[in-house]
Amino acid sequence: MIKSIYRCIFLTLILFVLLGGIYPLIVTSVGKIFFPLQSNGGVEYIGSQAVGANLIGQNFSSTKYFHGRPSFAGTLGYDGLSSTPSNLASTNPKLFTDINMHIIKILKGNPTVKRTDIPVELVTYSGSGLDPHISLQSALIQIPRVAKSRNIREDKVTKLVHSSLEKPIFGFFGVDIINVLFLNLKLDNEFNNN
Amino acid sequence: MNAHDFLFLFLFLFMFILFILSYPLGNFIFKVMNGEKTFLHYFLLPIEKRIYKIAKIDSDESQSWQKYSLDIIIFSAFLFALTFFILKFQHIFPLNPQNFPGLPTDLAFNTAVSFLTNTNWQAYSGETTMSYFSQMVALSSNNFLSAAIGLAACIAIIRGLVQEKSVGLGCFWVDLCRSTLYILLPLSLIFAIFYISQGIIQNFLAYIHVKTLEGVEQILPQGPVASQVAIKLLGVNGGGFFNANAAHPYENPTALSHFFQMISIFLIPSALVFTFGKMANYMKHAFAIWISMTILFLASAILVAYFEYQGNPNFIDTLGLSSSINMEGKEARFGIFSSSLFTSVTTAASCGAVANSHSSLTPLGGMFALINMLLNEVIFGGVGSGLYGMILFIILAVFIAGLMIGRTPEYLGKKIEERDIKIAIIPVISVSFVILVLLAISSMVQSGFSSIGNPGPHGFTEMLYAYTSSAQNNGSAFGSLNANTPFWNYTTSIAMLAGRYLNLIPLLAIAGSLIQKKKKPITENSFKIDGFLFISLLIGTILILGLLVYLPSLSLGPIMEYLQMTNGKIIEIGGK
Amino acid sequence: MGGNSLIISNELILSAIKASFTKMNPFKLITNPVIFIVALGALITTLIMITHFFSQDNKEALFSLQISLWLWFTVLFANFAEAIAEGRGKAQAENLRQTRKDTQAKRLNKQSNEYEIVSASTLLKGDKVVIVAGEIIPADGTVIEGMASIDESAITGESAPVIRESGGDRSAVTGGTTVLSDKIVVLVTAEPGKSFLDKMIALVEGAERKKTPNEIALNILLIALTIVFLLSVFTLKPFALFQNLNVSLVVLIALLVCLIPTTIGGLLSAIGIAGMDRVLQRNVLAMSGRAVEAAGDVDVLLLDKTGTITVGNRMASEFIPAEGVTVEELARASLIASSFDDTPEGRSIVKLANELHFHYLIPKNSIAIPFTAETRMSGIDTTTETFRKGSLEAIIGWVRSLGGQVPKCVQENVIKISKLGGTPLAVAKGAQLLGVIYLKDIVKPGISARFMRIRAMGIRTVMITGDNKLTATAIAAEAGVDDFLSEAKPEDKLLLIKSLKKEGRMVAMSGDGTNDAPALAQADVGLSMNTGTQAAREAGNMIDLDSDPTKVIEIVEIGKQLLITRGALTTFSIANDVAKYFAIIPAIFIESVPRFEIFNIMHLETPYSAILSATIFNALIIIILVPLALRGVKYKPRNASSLLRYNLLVFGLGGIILPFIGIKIVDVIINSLNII
Repeated sequence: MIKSIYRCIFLTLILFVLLGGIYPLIVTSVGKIFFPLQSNGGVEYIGSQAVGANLIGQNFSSTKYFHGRPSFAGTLGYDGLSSTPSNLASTNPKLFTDINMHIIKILKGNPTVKRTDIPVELVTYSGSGLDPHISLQSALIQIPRVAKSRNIREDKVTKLVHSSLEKPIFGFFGVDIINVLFLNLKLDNEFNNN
Repeated sequence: MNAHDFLFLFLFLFMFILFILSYPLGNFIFKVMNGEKTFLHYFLLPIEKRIYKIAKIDSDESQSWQKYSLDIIIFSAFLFALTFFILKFQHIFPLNPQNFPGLPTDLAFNTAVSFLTNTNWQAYSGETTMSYFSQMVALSSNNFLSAAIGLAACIAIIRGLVQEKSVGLGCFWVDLCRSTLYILLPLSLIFAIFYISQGIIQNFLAYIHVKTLEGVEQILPQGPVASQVAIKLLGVNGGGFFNANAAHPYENPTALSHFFQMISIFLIPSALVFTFGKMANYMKHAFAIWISMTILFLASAILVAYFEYQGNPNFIDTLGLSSSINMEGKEARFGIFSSSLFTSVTTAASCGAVANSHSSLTPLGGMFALINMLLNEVIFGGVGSGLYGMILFIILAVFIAGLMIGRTPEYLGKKIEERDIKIAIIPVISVSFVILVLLAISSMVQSGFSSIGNPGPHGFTEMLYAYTSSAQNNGSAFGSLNANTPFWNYTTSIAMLAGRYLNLIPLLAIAGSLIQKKKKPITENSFKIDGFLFISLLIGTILILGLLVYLPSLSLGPIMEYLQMTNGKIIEIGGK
Repeated sequence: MGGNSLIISNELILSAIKASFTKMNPFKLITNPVIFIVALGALITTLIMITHFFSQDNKEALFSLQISLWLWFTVLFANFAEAIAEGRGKAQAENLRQTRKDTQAKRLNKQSNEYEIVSASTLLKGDKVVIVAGEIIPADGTVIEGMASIDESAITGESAPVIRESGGDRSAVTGGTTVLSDKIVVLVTAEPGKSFLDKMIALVEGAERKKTPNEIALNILLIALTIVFLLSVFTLKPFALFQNLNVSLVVLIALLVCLIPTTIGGLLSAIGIAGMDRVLQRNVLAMSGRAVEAAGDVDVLLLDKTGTITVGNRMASEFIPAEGVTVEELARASLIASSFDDTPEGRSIVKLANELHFHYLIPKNSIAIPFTAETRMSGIDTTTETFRKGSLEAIIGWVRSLGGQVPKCVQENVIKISKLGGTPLAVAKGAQLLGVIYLKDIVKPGISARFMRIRAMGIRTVMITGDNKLTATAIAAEAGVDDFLSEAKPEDKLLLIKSLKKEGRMVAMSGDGTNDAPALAQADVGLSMNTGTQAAREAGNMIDLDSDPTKVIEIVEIGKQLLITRGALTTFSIANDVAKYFAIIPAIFIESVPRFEIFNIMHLETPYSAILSATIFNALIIIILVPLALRGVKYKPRNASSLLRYNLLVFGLGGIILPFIGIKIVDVIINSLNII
């Protein structure tokens, strides 16, 4: 018993140093050397101003930007410190009032769009509240609004949308997606109108 | 390629890659746990020897089951105390750039139990509660060590089954060190680096403040994520760095990382089946177990995916959308199929990492996730615990089969006698006792059901899910339940401890009794433990023993909710 | 008592019905926890029914009345199953008891060699008693003086008298049997009240019936299932309340009783008793239920060649003369050499010679030379000639000592005979070796078919014989045993058993001689012959009253059948739950959530009738399965996998499907009768 306790204490301490100290430090160093961008959060800059991270979605409500999915993170959505899904049950009335609210918002902002045009993912909350992506269809239905708001031709925006499309990895893993932040950065870049 | 073909191709590829990776890993684990030389010994043997020297461990010691269990308990108690202390007083430790205060006692207690028992039930939100030190030292180390305990115990239990006329099941400390050093640590390194390449962060920076395109300030949490994510999945722990767990883009950035996270959850539990085959020198039996697990897993994967594709009819009927697929709570980059597959994987294995909201699953999709856990976490299951849980079912199946062919039952040539059956039913009874009784209490007392986040039968399912997940050491949750209350923190802790130790110790006891028995040669007379018949008997036993008991609860929860969801209008909305 | 049929008489049924009520004693019921829970449930529902009557809630009262009635029936049916199994044993015990009327015994005084008359019940182990013709043997013992013919029909049911004599392998006598002729002195070997007959009575009555380890293990599993279902059903109440649904206690109890394994719980002890009974029907007395179950587990069957595989003795079947000798010459010499030989072999030689129409009168003044273990030959010395027959080596030695030659062809013939499984016997006249007699071992008719059956069960048969390897090989092949031990000495048998057991195999054997006793005691199943010695009878764990060594095969089958019946009904019982869920769960919730109707796949009429039908089915199935429990499930020898597949299909799948049909039928009936 005493022997076991002795072994236990020393072994735990050694292993804590190894697993909780040395191991993450090794991983950090390797990450820093080989993947500095990724390991440090993939932050995007305009000039010296950090404007976001390539993996973290942002709130877009302006008509000139493409909008992402509804977010349950924080009161305004896309709060980096409050990652969370809505956890609304399939039978919770709030799920339907919320989705309906998002639908109505889209219908209002995009008069050309009908209810049946709207992909489910554009009106449902994401799993993290920080989902940076939308589907192609979700981007396509927003083109008329963005083009109109920026006063440019729709086909130009359409081209941009298609060029932003990320295909499945190796054509197999994942689905067609568009990173909303990237798309909007591109928009600002190419059609710099403030 | 249409959706169906894709689904089946994907599942096939998934199982194929799993097999390709886990079969050799099984051999490797066999060698390591047997003390044989591998290529890693070149680097690690000196470290291993050094550790034994400092901790005064005799690598040749062989312990009785009582001693082995006692050492597990001592180690667990110490680990718990240390973790509790770090969490409770994290403000006095370094690496706390956000200056988080120490955790309240009930939460620290719950979290320490949760990580110790390999459950990783999280009643807290990582990015707003835990310092880097707590995450990295306390939680990450626990991720390794709780998995290592499971792996060590599993190997000891197998020794009991395959060795004969002996007493010792091996030395716990040696098994623990070897599992950690040679298996968990190297694999975690590889996966961690792969994850960084995919975009998982790994740093000690303070949280980054950015100004979004629309000019709002957004705070991006940082931290040593990759190193923890690697072991949280390999160790089938599931405790996320962030609240959103594997749905968080920093924890699971791409479809590729998603795929390999699923693989890595199953990797060691699957490999251990082959290790078992090697140790028993009976690969056919190992394959039969592996195939049984695979069949159960595929069934659940297809069912969950099916119900998520079917989705919510109200999306069309009430909201006037053109599709009813259930994207609520799922991430766009994974898509509906991969998301639901993750649900199956994480609940089949006792992982509990979630890449989408389980609470927002369709009622039946959620029910099959729940069933995966109710079946005692044996569909690959946890590291070690999955296989020894399966061995428990095999013993019961063999007992019934023995009766049906008129033989005193035997397993791997060892007689299963009265005492073994007596012990084998302890886990069966205690786990359902814990789940059902705690659930009954929480449906009666205010402090129980007031935590519910959704109305109707779903609220009941939230509680059922919570106790099932904690008693089965899974750790995933219907996140709508507010589990961070003293009532829930303590009751789920009870469930987690019971689920872990009332499985592990009885099985060690059975191993301790079987190891003393002599082995009978396998004859025509004995019941074959490979082949189709065994597989169907095993699956039947798992389903009947696992499910019959919970059918009333399931009817009151998910089934009732399903009837409600498909009943037409839940709410009047001027759609269409 | 042998030859009892399986027919259950009305009288038996009546007394079993009576016993089902006396078994309601709660202290008795608690020994069967599953049924105890049912009784408890029945009690509670009865109380609830009474309160409903007082509160004038007629519909509820009627429903709870019917439920509680059927729950009581469930208990009664389980009691009945046990009672009827016990009843059959009791009837047999009654017969035996009549044999055990108190007899007088003539106890020899140890010093004076005179006897005094005492009551048989006062005899102690070690006493000596004298029994003369017409008297009943007062106690179990060993004949130490004299020889007698004895009528053992009281215990064996066999009316032909048997011979018992001092010394040798036929010295054991049983109390209660009658001496028909002569006078014997018997050494009492049993304590009062522990005689063979007492044991027999206790066994058939089931008084000494202890649960076997296997039965205990199964019982534990059943209790575990019961506990788990108790939890599952009674937590349903708070769960339902939480959802604002109400479930009545009566319904919960009905659900509980339907789910817990009442079928197997009710039949378990009947199956065990009936298994012992079936062994008894074969005139075999098992010392414990454990022995019968062990028989089902056997991997290796050890069988003596002589008496078990072959008919007792070897028979002369051919005269094979040496070169230059005629058959007639050889036959004549053989006949003369055997004329004083009274052994069955000797007689068979005379018979064969006579059949070939050789006759010879033995000269006067001939001297018979008897067989001795040293010379290993026998024969006759007439005034002019000497005739000898015996083992080849002995005769060769004899011939050579007289200066004779050994013809080459004789050696060849000897090998040929051995290969055929026969025993060669050489014959010499003076210094001339005339040839050999082929003594043939006759394998019992039908034995190879029996071994086939055994092989199909996956059991290995090993023949034990003192013959040489060549002979043993041939007989083994003819009989179809898997293996043999040749040139075996008695102690080899023990060594073989020990080594087999060390490998972890279960061994069964039968034996009768004193030198079999250690082996019988070592074997997992040792079947001793009733004709055997007392030592052998005590060493084995079963005694065959018919003294048929091949019966061990039947015992193995009965043991298997017993275990299988238990397993099959367990599986059936658990599989039944699926249908019962489909009957009861929708019925519970349908009023509050009408859409639960989609799970009412049997389309049961009303919630009440659904619950009642399931309860009725659950009770009736016990009674329906009583004959199966008593008879045992049909058993066809086959290997483990196909047996399991078959039983899983019949009792597993059947157990899932049958109640769907059964409950539906009950539902239709009770609705058409309008009783609910």
